[in-house]
Amino acid sequence: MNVFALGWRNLARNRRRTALSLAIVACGTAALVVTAGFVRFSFDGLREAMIHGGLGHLEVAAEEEVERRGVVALDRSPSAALEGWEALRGELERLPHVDAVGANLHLLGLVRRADGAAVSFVGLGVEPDRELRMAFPTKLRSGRGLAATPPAPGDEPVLLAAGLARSLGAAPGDTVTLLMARADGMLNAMDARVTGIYTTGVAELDTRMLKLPLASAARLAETSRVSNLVVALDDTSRTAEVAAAVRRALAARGDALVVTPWSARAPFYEQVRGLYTGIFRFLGTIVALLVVLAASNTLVMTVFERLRELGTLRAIGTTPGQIAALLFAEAGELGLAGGALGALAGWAAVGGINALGLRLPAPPGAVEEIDLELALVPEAFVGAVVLMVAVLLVAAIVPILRATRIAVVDALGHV
Amino acid sequence: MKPARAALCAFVAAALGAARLAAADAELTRLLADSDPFATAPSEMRVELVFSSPRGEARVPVEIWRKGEGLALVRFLAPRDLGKYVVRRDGGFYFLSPRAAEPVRLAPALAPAGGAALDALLAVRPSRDYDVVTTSEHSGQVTFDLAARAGTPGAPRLRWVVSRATRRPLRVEFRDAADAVERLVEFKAWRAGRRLEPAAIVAKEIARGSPPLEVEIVAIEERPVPAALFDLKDGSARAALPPPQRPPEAL
Repeated sequence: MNVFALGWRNLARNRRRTALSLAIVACGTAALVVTAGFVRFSFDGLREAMIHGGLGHLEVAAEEEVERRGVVALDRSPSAALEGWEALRGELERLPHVDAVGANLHLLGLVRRADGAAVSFVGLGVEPDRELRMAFPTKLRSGRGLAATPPAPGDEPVLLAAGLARSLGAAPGDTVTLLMARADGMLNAMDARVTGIYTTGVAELDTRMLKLPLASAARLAETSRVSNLVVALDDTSRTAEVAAAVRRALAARGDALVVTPWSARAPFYEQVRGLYTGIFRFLGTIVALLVVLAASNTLVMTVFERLRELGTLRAIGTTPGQIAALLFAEAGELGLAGGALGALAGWAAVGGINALGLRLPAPPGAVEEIDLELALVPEAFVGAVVLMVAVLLVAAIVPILRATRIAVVDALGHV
Repeated sequence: MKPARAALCAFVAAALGAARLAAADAELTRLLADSDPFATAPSEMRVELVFSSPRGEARVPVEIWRKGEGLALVRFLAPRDLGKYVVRRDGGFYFLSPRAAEPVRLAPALAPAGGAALDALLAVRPSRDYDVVTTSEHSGQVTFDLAARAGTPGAPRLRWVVSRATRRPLRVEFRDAADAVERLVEFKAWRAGRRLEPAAIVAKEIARGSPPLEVEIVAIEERPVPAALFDLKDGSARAALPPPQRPPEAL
């Protein structure tokens, strides 16, 4: 007896009941597929936002500075270990999968407009041409961005974050004075022309951040050193591989520098990931439980409606094991078909939702809405179908036990 | 003893005690005046000094030009810092940089630590502007707790510690109205000569929490100082100042 063929026939025999069961399983599968797509969208979006928001895939910084301030510090003092950073940058940019390497100079100080109050700032000296190659976008609100070519001394451009510009009452075209102390405590002040207003995407950072070309930042800090080098890759999954190559290059040069991958510099990402994973597991468990209960109920009804039929099979010599195999086959096939339908429905739902162009409200602390673009997660499709088959098999246990333990006479007399 | 004679003896003893106390007070007042290093300092002068941290990793040579007690100019002498100044006038500090068109008013916390300490020290006249609140003596060191007289600019309270043997100040604590220490200056060495002039001090900005700074006073020179040096808008007088007289490595 081919239990699988018989199983399909039995399912086809009672179309309405089978359709109901398939609908339940398909809905559960689609829900899991869409949820997995949302989870992947959230994780990937957060990860890439952090990497291309300025962290880069890898950071190369002075060992002493990392030991002193920790790997997660976002501002580092210019270091003697990075004195010859241009040569090192050239070497790193020749490594496979490296898109570009940008030098950063971190600044802390006060900024003021003429006759205005001073506001403390956190500044970032960047190389605009490298930022472009590294796909580090500057989200301009007004004015224009930094030019790719280094500015001449005395003509220093600066981009102010929106909150900082508001505090200063500054707009593109205004001149502000930046004041900061060198590492040895000596002050320096420099006038800079506001070329644009931008947002970092994080409301709190927007109240303090400003960005200027590396050459201008070096003139303000009066140093030829940089704080760190940020490495951007063509593929995030290559991070560990390229980190190892960069470490080998640094070891060959004998520089007192360390390489830190983005994940170590962004504990926030792992925290969010842990929190979201917990939430999604909880929701997934509820979905699976609902499917188990609904499918179990359907299967119990199926078995009870067919008790006389099963009694007849037993009476003509079919063993309880064969009955159990038949019912398990039906449950598994129901799970497989429902899962497959659900996967299709989930794929269609992901496509449909993405086509709607929905936007999510800005997350806590952020300033911009997010374009919702659910991901298609192949492993979620396979996993959801396998889960549904397993769930249906589990749901079939109780009715099968009932069907195989009932006496043949009682089964034949069941109405 | 008859009551009249006893009363007379008591009166004489009290008078002698009072005279001794008065003599002691006069001696303390003399000690305070003797230990006042800038009591006879000229009102217009140029002071050349070098700031360094105790570990000596950074040496910052500067000049301070003072005109009276209201105007001071700190000129930075290191080649990379030429053209930078801090001006104290109208009760405020202003930073002037060749890269900034306008002077930047500094919060007191941003005034150069050593310069501010020396500036405060040059302005302080303990024997003229302060009243003695209490005195105490221990191991040859006399401590004067002083309160500023009305209208005295600067610290409302001072603790002035003097060596009785050398009659020179050992340290001075600048205190706020609540008697909390804001700044501590220790006198480390003295210049040979008739006038009491410190050669080295250590300044600690207690309220600011910054590390101690050693200040080596290379020269104190009495000379007329033009008021135009302190002009915040017109820098021509500052630009006309003579170039640093010593090479940076000698400072």
